Amino acid sequence: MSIVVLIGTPNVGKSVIFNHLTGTYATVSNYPGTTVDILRGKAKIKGDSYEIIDTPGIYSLIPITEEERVTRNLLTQIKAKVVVHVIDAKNIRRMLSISLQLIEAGLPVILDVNMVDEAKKTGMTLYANRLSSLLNIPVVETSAVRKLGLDTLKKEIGTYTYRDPISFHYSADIESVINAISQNLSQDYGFTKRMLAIMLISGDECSHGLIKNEQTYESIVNEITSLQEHYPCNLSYIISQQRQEFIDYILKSVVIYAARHHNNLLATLGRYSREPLTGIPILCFVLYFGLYLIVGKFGAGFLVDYMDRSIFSQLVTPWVEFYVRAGIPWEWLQTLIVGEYGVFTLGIRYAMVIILPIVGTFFLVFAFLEDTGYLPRLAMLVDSLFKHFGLNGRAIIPITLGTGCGTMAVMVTRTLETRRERILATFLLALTIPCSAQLGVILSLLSHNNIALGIWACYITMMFIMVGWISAKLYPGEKSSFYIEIPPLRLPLVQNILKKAWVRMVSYFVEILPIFLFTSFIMWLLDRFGVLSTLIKALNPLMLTLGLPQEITPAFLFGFFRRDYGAAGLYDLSNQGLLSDNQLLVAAITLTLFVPCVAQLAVMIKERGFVLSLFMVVIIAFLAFASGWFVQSVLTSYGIVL
Amino acid sequence: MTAGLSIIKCKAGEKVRIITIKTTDDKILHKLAVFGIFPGGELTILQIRPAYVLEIDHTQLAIDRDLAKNIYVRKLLDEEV
Repeated sequence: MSIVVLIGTPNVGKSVIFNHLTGTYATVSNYPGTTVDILRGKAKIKGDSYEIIDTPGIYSLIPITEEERVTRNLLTQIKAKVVVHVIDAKNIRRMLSISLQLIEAGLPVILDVNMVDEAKKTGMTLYANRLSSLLNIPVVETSAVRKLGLDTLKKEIGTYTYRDPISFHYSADIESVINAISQNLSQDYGFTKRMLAIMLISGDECSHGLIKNEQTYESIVNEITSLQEHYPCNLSYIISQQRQEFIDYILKSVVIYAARHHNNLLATLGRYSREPLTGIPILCFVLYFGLYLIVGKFGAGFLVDYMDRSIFSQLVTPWVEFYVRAGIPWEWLQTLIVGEYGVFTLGIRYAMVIILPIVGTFFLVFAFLEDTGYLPRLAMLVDSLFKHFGLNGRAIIPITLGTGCGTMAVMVTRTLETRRERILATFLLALTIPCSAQLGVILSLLSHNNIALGIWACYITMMFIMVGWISAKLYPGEKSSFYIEIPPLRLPLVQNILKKAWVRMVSYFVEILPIFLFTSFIMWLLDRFGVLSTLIKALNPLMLTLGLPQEITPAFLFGFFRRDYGAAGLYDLSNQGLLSDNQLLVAAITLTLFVPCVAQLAVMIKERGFVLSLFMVVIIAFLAFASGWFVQSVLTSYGIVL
Repeated sequence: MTAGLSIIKCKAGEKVRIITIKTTDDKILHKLAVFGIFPGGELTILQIRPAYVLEIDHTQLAIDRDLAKNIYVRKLLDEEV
């Protein structure tokens, strides 16, 4: 089957085009070793079947971020029939630079100039035919959101045959080095030798890594070094600059800019949401509305209740229990399925009832924020705060995801630039960020007492700031500078949000369900052989120090297997009237800070290594219990009753 | 030709022309290049807090002080705007 790859910078409408080409069916696959989404779908064009691949956004073929690395590797490894480069018409000047790189790489490029309607509104006129004949590649104008030009794009894909595109030359001294290097290379490593040479000159680490074993490597490096001596700044910048000059030259005969006039509601809202005076209240509103009301109240409150009470307790559970008890003669197998720690009672029910609605609503909110273009504004607003934690604004993405699911968030820390940032973010996620499931249960536990809820929120926020600040001081090192494109605010398409959230939720569920099943199996095993009660006894003294009843110990043990198990355990105790509000607060704080769940720990070990993770867990366990003890001591010694 | 003024010395709302980028840091240059920030180009400084927001053509780019301080510019005269 022929493959079509979609390439482009973020926010150019690639996903809309992908959805249009593939219809409703698509799968997310994590590229080996990363968590960056790659969407694959099937399409029929002119009776032929195609596989369409949507790649993470890139700004250059020379990668800095994980997304760019993934896309670049994909391009070298897949023999695509067509690479569709989607650009935003307004920003054609900047984006053609990637088109040129793709052309230099010898790829079969179709240029899709998208959002032509937005560009027209800014007073821009584009002569696509001229651009097509100048570059000698197919150029299609589309407005994907309005479904304009998409049939032409399909037609171009269907009839595509490779023709030699424009050849473009750098200054003579650079060209001679390009030629010298090309001749010294034994193979092209997925791109053309010329492109590989250009990337080597640009100092691309991936390319240097690829050709390290070439016998001529040393002489290649020498060529580059002596070329560099003629320039005051890096060769990559010089090359980009010459490429840009060439683009400007082409665009002179292709684009006419008229006076621009744009002042609509979205542009105004876009401005308000990035200026600090209005942006910070908007940020608070987004967090309150999106996270607290939709995920917390609706997802974790209403939906969880509804699924648990009306669907599971009344219909599913009795049905499963009936058939298991009637059909399976062995007691041990019965308890393994429907007992207190059974894979159905604990594993499947928890995954379906607690995780699914909460994570589902979270993904919906997140996809909405993503598609409106709001997230970069969030990153920009918190950048200076995050600098104090040794992070930059980009870390807001894993941190926000952490309020959805910590496990996923730790994986996403891969997108941070330096190792130090990844470690600091992992630590903060493990210690201070409650996942949506835990957050949901704690909010509903404490919501009857606003003061307790307030103290809990303040304490966790304070820990986040203090620990962030102190750990950045204790672990000094490389910082990465912050840069992010602020896209215009756009009204997202409902079906795109639904599809994105659905695809992510399914792949998340598939990943998390085995962990739930495994966890309940271990619990069942521990319970059956009496290990559970021994463990509980061993932990009892610790609970007494915190002024908590012994009955709470299992909740803490569960809490290690899933953070929300722990919180859910509290929920049961509180319903039985075993906990005063003081105790509830102490327990909520300790559990929120307590070590992350098994799944998150496993990902931590995978991403950060065993020793470092163990070190973090020890600190976290200490800080969690110390905090519980501290809060309980303050409450008791001042005789405060909440 | 003057050496120019660092962007962090500029005010919000100013339109400027880029004179030079004063750094040899490869990563910084790369980040600026992908957004089309080259000597000779024009940009508008939209805001300076909590991060610098620059408008180049039709793209808005937020960068921190560490990046911004490397970009040296001169203010555009009224007749150039």
